[in-house]
Amino acid sequence: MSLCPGCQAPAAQWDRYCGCCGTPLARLRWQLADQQRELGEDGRVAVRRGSHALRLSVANEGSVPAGLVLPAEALAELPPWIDRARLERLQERAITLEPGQEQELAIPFATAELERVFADRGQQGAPLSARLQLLTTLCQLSEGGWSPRPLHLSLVVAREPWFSPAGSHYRFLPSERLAEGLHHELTLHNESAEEVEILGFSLEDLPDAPPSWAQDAARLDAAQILEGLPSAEHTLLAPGEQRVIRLSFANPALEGLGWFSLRLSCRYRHRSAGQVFAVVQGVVGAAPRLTCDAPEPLGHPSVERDEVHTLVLRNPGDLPLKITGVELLRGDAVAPARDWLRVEGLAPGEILPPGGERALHYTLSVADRPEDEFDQAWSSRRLRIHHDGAGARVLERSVDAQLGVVQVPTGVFMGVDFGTSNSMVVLLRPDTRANVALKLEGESEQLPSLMYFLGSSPSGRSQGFLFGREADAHAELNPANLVRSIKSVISRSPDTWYHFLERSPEGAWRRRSYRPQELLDRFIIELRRRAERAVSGLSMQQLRALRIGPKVRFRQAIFSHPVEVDAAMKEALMRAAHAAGLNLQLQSAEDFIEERCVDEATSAALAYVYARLDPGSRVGVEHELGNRERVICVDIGGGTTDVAAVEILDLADFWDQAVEQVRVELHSTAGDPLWGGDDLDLLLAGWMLEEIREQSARQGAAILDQEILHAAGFRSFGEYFNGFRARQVVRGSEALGQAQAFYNKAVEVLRKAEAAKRRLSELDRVEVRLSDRDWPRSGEQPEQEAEFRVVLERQRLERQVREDARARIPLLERVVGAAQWEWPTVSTVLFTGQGSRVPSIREELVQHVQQQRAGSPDKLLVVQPDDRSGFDPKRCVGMGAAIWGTREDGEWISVRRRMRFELTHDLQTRWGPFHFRTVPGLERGQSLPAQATVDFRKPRQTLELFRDGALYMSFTFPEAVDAIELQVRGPGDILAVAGALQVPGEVLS
Amino acid sequence: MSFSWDPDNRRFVTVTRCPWPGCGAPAEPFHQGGLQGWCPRCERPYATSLEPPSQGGAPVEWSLCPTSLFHTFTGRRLEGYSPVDWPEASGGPERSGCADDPRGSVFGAPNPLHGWGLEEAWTLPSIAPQEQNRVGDAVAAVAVMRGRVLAVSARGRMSLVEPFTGELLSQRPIDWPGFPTPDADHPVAFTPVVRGSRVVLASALQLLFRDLASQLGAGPNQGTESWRVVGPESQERRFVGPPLGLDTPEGPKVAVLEADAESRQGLANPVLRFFTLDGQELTQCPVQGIVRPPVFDRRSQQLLWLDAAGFLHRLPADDLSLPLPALPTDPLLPLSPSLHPTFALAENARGDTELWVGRVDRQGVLELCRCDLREAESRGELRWVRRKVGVRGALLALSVGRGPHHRQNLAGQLLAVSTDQGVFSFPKDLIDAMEHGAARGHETADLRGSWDAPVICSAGVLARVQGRVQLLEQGLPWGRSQRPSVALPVRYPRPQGLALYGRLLIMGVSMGLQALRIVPEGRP
Repeated sequence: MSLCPGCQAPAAQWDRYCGCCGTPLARLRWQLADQQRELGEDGRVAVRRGSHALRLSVANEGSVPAGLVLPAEALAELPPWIDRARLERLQERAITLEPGQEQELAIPFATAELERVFADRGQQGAPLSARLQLLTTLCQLSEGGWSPRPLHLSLVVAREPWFSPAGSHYRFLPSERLAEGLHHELTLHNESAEEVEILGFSLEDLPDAPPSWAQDAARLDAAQILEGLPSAEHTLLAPGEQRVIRLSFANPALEGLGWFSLRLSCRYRHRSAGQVFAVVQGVVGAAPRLTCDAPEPLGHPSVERDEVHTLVLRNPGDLPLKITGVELLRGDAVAPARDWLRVEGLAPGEILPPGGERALHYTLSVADRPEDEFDQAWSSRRLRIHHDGAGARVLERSVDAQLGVVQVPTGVFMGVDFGTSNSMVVLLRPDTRANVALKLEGESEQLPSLMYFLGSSPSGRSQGFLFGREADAHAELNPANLVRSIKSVISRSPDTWYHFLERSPEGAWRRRSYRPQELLDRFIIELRRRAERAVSGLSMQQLRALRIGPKVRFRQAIFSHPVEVDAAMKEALMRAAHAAGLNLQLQSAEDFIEERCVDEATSAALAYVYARLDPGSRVGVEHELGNRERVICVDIGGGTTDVAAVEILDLADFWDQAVEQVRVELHSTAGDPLWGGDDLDLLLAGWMLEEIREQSARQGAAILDQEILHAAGFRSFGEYFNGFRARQVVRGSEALGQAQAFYNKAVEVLRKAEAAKRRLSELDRVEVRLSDRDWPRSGEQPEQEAEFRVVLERQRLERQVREDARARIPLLERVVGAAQWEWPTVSTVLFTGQGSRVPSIREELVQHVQQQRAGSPDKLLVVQPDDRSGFDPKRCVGMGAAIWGTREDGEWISVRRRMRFELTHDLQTRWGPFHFRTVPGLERGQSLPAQATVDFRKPRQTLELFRDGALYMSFTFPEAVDAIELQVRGPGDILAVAGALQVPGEVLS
Repeated sequence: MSFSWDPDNRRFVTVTRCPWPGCGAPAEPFHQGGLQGWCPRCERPYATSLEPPSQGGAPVEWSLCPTSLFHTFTGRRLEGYSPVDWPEASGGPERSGCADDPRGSVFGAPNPLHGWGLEEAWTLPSIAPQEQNRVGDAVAAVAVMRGRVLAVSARGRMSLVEPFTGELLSQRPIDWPGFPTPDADHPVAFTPVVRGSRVVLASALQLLFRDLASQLGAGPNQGTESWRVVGPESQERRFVGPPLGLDTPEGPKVAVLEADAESRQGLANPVLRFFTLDGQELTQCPVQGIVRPPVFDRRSQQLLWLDAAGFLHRLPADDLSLPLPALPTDPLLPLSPSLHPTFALAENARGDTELWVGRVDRQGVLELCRCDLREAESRGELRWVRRKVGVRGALLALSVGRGPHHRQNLAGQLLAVSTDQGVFSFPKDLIDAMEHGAARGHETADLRGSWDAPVICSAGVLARVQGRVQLLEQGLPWGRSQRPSVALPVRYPRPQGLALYGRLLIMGVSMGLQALRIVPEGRP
């Protein structure tokens, strides 16, 4: 075992380096055999006239064996004065040197050739130096790998005095460095055995052409570029002496690039007179620099909305300049990835040509400001542009923006009515009872729940989405890119990809896909941004009442949701709220729904309570306040219908200040997630398409009305296209275009239907006109352009609407039954939602309530749109959501849930390939908790539960069981028990 | 000894040998670096290294002695991960709890004619024999760094121990530098990260970065005596998980999870902080929703963690401030931080990385979930293979055997979980999720499972429970009587560290260490 010579640690014989200290274990020392001078790893030896060979001695002074080899490639470039034939005996032969061993190597010379070199005074013959390389067993790391560590030996013919370097080429000399005083140093060597007498120096311009990249460079002569000649004061150069000759550069007045090529001659006497030359050449010019005229710092006072500014960067130098990096810093750290300052239009690697300019755009994005700067009026960032030019190689500008102090409101509750058709935001401060519905779009408090995909810019960047009416206005451009009722999209199919269409740079249509969650995230973020922007537009009086400033960042919000909400929808809504920076403290979907969500019907009831207590409101003025009001809330939204039974207690006592709280108790809720105001649009669209089909058939080619009507049922093109492809209506590459044609027409018809629905509330008949172009038809389109005219009658719509409304009466029955109320005790019916604007729907439902409570001495209070009571059915859901938030404070209202749940669907097991059987005891309407047993014919490990024929839940036991007892404890909360084993179900759809 | 020159590859010929000084037995070349080798002559492990030449050509395979601080072929300082070491919690940044020996070199091919047994190797009564014991002090973590056992006590004292003899490298322990030192209320509770000669030690209130080169026997001027202690961002914050080593091409880094001290709902305001090994902070990244400290996938160079819905979040090592879009889960995989979900990364039979999650549902039933990460990346969402395994109790640790199906690698087929009811082993393919082996502590003990994550190697699953250490599962369906165990009649009230080095299993016992040797035995 060997020991490391450095640290005495044990080492293996074949190790090259010590594992403890990294010291090379083999130490090769070489020297000339007749001298004691060590050569080092890059030795240099003079070859004297008349020498026959150079004798080298190589010794291993380390503790492990070392290897040495003269590689073949080392001999390839040797000059003829080295005897290569004899040297080749050593070629490629490994020499092993044991520790302490010494070996002699001889480099033989071709004496005749060497004599010829000494005799040749014109320096045109053989090279005067040779470089030999020996490879060792030691390694060196370079260029991502190892290579054998070499020993280099330079053999120089010691002949006449010589300059080093003999040729110097300055690729580029910045004029700034010349101004600082730049010197060029040359070394004159005397390697002969005699003294050399220097007689003098002279300079001459050489006619060389400048390099190709500087063809236009002006010619500079010696007098322009050099400040005189070196003096020759010490005229004698001893044998072996070296003398440094210094040339001082002058700074020529230049515009653009300059080129010089000079030859310095030194006359000397050495045995006889002679001359030695050195060539100096180079390009001179202004160094590339990066400048910017913008002041430091760049101040932006009073930034209210997004602003884009431009900086102009210049390179006044004579060489191109490369941008090597762009950095945004906050203090000394890198700025956050999402920040109020964004820089675009400059990327590392870009080149600024000589004299070139470059515009740099930076965006001040108010909404992306980090929260930890909310309490600062001014925010500051440093923009650093790194480059490879002269100077510090970095251009730095500070960008300051007065974004204003932003307040995170406390004590103000933000209620979000996230509706199928429209969304609203209401702020409520319970201690001052101030409440404001924010104007989310212009002067409107409602933001239509629409999104429109703008496609990508020609450079390939997504241009994002438009929202609300802006999205609606753009829908005509490309209906396939419109998402209607974003909430319904999520609740109906949470796992689908949504495809939008955009033009590629080549002009072809292509798809861009988004997840529903991404769409929902963007919408909720937009809702929050608009709400914050709307706060800055509130009057001073409103701000004072809410006790907030004009700049706020909301961190908490209460959302409304349909009564029937599944786990995926809860999760999606929580994720979207988190993406918008809302309610981040709630990490589980259950907590989120419990703490920060309220169903729409309940929230409308809460708003009703608030209105009843408001002295300025006329809601129910003809009805005295009682201490027990039983309210049925009917919320007919765009896509859903929710009904709730709410009991309001102590209202009169509270008014008389006999108690401190109004008590609101929620007894039951029920909902139809698939019927709402939009279904009327679909109904009218169906009638229109029926009529158009007949008219088009008379033209010779009927339109494909069934497929168009089918398309109209989808909330986005992506959802429709998925089904279209799956059904293989059209196969192959044409599917996308065909689906687009169907969907575009469906959206057009729906928009016309919606407009017609509004007009039918005032007129008996409405005529709708549509062009007969671009309809998907069963045959060729007629050449002559014409119009389709469809007449819609109010009477027919009324009839259908009443039928639909009557179909919803069981909801009322279910709610009242679940609350265990007697019908005569119901005192109020409260209508909200856009669907309740249709009078016939309301009439049908109110008529049923009146019939049921016949004989009651009290008059029924009906609160409905347009009853001039001051109760705003539009804002009541958002308002109620905000009130739901105040229950944490418990100051003036207390809300309790006394709901008795019941099954809304039959729970079934599979009974054959396409048949399902309801589990006895788990029928629709069964109040919860409930339990039932499923017996198997033979033991099984898995049980699947179905709801309306669709897979709902699955249970897997670790072993096969004969029977399973199902314990249904609440909506979506089912436990399967078999003996000692318990398996909770997980909702699959 | 003489050298020979290889004219075709322009290099001196190198022969693969056992790198231990004094042995030098010829070894079979692996043609792969970063693996663990085993010398049958001297019965010691070593690491393989492939060194590419700078000018192209086949790389040189070189065996490295585990104790080396410098590469014995190139002279380069070794600062990265070593497969022979037990360099952090659960044995590596993947948190698999499995020896890094995908070829099964250490234990060889499974042989039906013999199994494996346990025998005592050595006992070290105290890691600080010349000092009085401090209040609440005991060995809290064990790691293997550069072929030496590093034992860390709860009060922050460190000792290096020779693994084959159990001798202390120095009679005095290495004290926690600076003030305050970890006290009984805020002890060192996490296994340190070791890379090269550097160690990163964490308590709830402090992170210690220290170079132990001189203590490991480095030559003069080869180690720095400097150290750095870093605290949380504010007094209300705490370090909440073991430090994680990030082995990147630019060199190793360390990630630590920090969160609010008082939180009733999981981790509040969690932030990942990244450091160099000398304690310089690189960047921070907020990780809202994280349910457990992350793991690092060395193949994809990404930090991975899951949130409460089972969504996978990824943070590339080359840009630690910008996470990639989260991969959704279909269907949702609810993970509640209070139910202690545990995850680990391991290679599957195809060599792809799989993410394993152990979770206990609200009814207390243990479920194991598996997801192929490459498939998830291409699909854009996670598809879990889920299996309820019929085990109940609070989940404490999950260990997953890693490595492709090499004929010698048995570890790749094993999986083990520790709950408060016991340690259970399962076949990794989960075709039948019934337990193959189980170890339970004495019934009088508070905890019948293991405080420390079970260790998986090709000899089987090694678990420490109250009163004994047991070799649970050897990939063969043996009965309970054929599970070797060694009695350890001492109290086992908290995690004390469990590390594997070659065929040695080393664990903390009170203030000392105990090593067991895994030895071949004839079939009972």
